[in-house]
Amino acid sequence: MRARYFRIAVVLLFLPILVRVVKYQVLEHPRLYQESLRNYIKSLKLEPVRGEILDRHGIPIASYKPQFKVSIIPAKMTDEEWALLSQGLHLQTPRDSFAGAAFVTLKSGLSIEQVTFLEERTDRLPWVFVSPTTIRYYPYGGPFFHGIGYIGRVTAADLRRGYDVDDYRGKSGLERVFEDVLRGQKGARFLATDAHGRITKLDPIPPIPPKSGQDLHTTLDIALQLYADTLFQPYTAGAVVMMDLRDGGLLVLYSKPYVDPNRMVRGLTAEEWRALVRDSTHPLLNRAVSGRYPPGSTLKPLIGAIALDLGLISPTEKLAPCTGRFAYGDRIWRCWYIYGHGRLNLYQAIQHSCDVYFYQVGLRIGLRRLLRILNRLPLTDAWLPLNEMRSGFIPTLNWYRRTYGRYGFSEGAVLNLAIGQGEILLTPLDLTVMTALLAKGPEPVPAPHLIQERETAWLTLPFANWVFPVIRKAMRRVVEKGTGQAAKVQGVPVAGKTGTAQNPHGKDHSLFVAFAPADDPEVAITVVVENAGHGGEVAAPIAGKLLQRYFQLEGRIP
Amino acid sequence: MKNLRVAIWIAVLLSLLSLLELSSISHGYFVRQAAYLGVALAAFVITSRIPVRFWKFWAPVLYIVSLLFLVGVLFLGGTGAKRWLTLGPVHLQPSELAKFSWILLIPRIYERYGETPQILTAGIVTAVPMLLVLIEPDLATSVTFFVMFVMVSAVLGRNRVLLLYLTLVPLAIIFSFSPVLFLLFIGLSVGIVLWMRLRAGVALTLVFTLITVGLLSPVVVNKGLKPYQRQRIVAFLNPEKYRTGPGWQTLQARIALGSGGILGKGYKKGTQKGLAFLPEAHTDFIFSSFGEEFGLVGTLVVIGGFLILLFHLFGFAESLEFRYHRGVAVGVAAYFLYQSVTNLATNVGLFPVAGIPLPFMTYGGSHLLAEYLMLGILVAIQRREAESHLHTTW
Repeated sequence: MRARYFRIAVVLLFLPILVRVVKYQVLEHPRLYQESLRNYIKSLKLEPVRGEILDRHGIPIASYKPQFKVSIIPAKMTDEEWALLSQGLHLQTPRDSFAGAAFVTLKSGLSIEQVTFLEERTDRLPWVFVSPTTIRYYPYGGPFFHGIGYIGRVTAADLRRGYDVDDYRGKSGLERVFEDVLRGQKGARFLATDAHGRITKLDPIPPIPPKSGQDLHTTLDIALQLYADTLFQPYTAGAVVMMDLRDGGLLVLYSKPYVDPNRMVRGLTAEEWRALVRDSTHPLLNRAVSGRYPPGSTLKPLIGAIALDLGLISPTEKLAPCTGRFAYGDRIWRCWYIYGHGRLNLYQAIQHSCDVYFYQVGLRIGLRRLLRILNRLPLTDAWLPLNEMRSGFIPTLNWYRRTYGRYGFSEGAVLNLAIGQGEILLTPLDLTVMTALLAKGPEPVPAPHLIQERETAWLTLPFANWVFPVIRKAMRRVVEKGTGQAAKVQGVPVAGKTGTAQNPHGKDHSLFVAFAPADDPEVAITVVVENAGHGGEVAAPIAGKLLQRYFQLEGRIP
Repeated sequence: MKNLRVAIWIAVLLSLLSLLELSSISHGYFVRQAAYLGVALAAFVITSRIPVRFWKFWAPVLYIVSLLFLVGVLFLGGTGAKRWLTLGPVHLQPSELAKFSWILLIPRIYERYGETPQILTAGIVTAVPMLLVLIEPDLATSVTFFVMFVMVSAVLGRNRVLLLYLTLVPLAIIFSFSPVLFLLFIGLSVGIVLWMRLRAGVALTLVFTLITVGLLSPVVVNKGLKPYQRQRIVAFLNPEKYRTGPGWQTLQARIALGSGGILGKGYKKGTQKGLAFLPEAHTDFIFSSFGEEFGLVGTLVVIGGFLILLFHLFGFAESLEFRYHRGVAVGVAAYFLYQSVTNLATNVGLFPVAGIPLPFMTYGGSHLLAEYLMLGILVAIQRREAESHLHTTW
C-alpha cells in the first residue's frame, strides 16, 4: 500500500477535531466564556434594607435597626491575628472551621465595645472588616404583632425559592404577604480568586448595589392601637377592629394576647416555640381576623333589618309581651332579663336587647329563609389578604342536615340564630363590616383593608332604603338610654349594640359594635373581650373610649 | 524525493509556541522546557549526522534495552501507574525509548524475512512492548504500538489477510463496548473484505472470527479494564455529570478552549490554567490553555501545523526508495499521527483523558527528545537517499 494514502486518514481524523474547535471557540464561546468567569469570580451578597411598614401618618411600625457585623478573609489571616480577633470577640470557634472559605461573615450584632475593639486595631487586623447591616426592629412590639406579623430565619424549603441560609423572611401578617415588596433585591460585590480560592483582586467587575425594599403604608393608627392595648390591660384576651367608613381603612386591628415580634426576629429555641404553640390562650391566633365568636345580641339589628325589609314587622308594631320566657316547641326559651320586658316595638327591643321579641321575629322569618338571606349578605369573606385570615361561619340548611341529620334539628334553631347564638360564628372583622353596612346603608361601604390603596370593592346590604334609618335610630337609643350607655362620648352621638356571647368554656364573651357619629357615621368599631361578662359592662366602655380618642385626635372634641 | 525542510521548521515552530504558552503558565516550566528543547535540538543535529545504517545495526540492541527498561519500570517505578524511571537527576519515560527503537527495528524485519513469518515476527516484536506498557498500566501508549504496526505493515507487508486479522481483531474488542458501534464495525469490515476481493472462504472466516471475538470480549473488558480506566470512559461520555470527578478536566478544557473565542484572551490572561481548573494545563491540555489565550487563530495555527507536518511526512515516506527507509518514515509519521490526534481529540472532548503528549508542545523532555531524534533520523535518511541519487538537497 502506498504511504500517501494515509493522508486521507490524516484529513479524516483531523476533521472532527477542527469541527469541535470551531464549535467551542466560535459557536459556544459566549456560554463558555461566562463559565470561565464563574470559575474565578466569587460574589459576596450585599444585603438590602427591608422596607418599613408605616402607619397612616407615616410612623414606622416595623422598622430596622443598624447593627455591625464582622467579616473576615480567613485564608489571609495569620494565627496571631486570629488569636487577637478571638480574644476581642470572645470566639470559641477554631479557625480551621473556615478553611477554604473566601469571605465569611463571622458574627453579626456586635456590641459597641466589640466594634471599638476592632476599629482601634484595623492596622493589626487587615483582613477583618466591620460593616454596618440592618436588622428588623418593631419599635412598639407586641400590640402590633397581629396583622403586621414578624420575620424569622428562612426554612429549608425557602432555600429553593432563592433565599440564602442566613436570610430572613416574613412569617406572618403583612410581613409575609408583602414579602416580595418589602424584601428588596440583594446586591453583590465581586472578588477574583485563583483556583485555590485565594483572593487575587477586589472588585474585578463593578459591584451591584442592593435595592432596598419598598415601604408599606398601612391604614393603622399607632395612637389608637396603643390606646386599645392600654384599655385591654385588665383583660387577658380579646380583639378590637376599628374601620374608617370613608375609605375602608382599618384604624385598629388589635388582638390579645400577643408575642413580642422582636423576640421572634432574634429566634426562639425549640422549647420556647413549643411553649408558645401549646399556650392555652393561643397568643399566635389573630383574633381580630380569625377569632370566631357567636355574635350574640350584636346580630339583632341585622335580624331586625331583615324582618323589616321582608315586611314581617313594622318599626312601631308591638309584638307579644316579653315575660322573661317564651314557649316554643317542647321547651322554654328565656330572655336574658328574667323579669320580662313587657310589650315592645323594634326600637325598644333593640334598645333593651329583648330576646323574646327576636324569638318572635325569627319565627316570622323562618329558619330556611333566614339562613338563605344571611348567606347572601356580604358578612363573611377573606377581607384581608393575610394568611391567618379565617372568616366567620354562617350555616346553611344543608349544613344542619349534614350535621344533625334530617330530623335532628327543628325550626327552633331559628330562635337561637335570631339572638346571635347557636351555630352562627363571626369574627370581629366580620362584625365591623356588618356594623359599617348598617351604619352607611343604603350607601355602599368600602371593603376593609389594611394597606393604603386606591381601589377597593364596595359592599351594600340589599334592603329597602327606609330600613336603615330605623335600625340606626334603634342603635342610637342603645347608647343613649339602653344597654350600651357606657359607650357614650361627650359631644359625639354614638350608635351601637351590645352583645353577650355564651361561651361553653367559661364566662361569657363581652361584645360591642358601634359607629359614630350616629347621624353621619365615619367609623365603625367592634370590641370583643373574652370571658369578661356582659357586653354593656366591659366592651362598651372600651369602644366608647376609643371613639372618644379618635374624635379627640381628629380635633373634633376637646 | 520530498524535502523535509518544511516539516522541520513546523516542528520548531510548534516547539516555540509551546514555550510561549508554558512561559504564560509558569516561568519554571518555561525554563525547564527551553533546556529540554536545547538538548533535543542538539540530539537532532547529532542524529542527522549519524548514518542510517548505524541505527539499523543497533536497532535490536536498543529494542532489548528498551524492553529491559520497561520491565525495570514495573519494579522500580513506585506505586500507581508505573510510567517513569528515575536515573539520578533524569526522569525517563521508557515507553518513549521503546517506540523509538521499535520504529527502527520493525522495517528491518520486513526487509529480511520471507512472506508469512515476516508479519508474525513483526507482530511478536510489537506485542511484547505493547503488553509491558499495558500492565504499567498505560492503555493509550500501548495502542500507539498497534497503530504504528498496522500502518508500517500496510506499507511494507505482503500478507494482507494476516494484516487484516491483526488489525481487525483488536478493533473488534474495542468496538464491542457498544452494540451499535460493533454492528457498524462489522459492516465496515465486510465492506473492506469485499473491496479487497478476498476469496469467499477466507472472507467468511475473518468475519466469523470478528463476531466471535466481539461477543466474547465484554467479559474480557469487564475483568481486564482497571476501574480508573472504566471510570474515565464513563466520565468522558458525560462530562457535565462528573463536574468534580474524572470529567472535571474534560469540562474545564472545554471551558478553557471555548472561553478563548476567536482572538483569545491574550498572553498571560488565561484564567483556566490555575492548578484546580485545568490541572494538566502544561501537559495533556496545553492545547486547550493555548487556545484560551490565543483563540481560534492560535488553535488553527497549531492544527494547521500538524496537518502540514503529517502531509509532508507521509509524502516523504512515499518518495523513498529503500524499504527500510520507507518503513522508518511511515513509523515516524504514524507516531506523530497517533500522538497528535489522540491528544487533540482529548482536548476537544472527543477522546477520554489518555495521558498522550502532544508532539513538540506538551511539557516534558522524554517525548520531545524522542521526537527530535526521529526527525534527525529522517534527515539522515534523506541524505542517504540523496547520495544514492547523486545529488543533495539538504
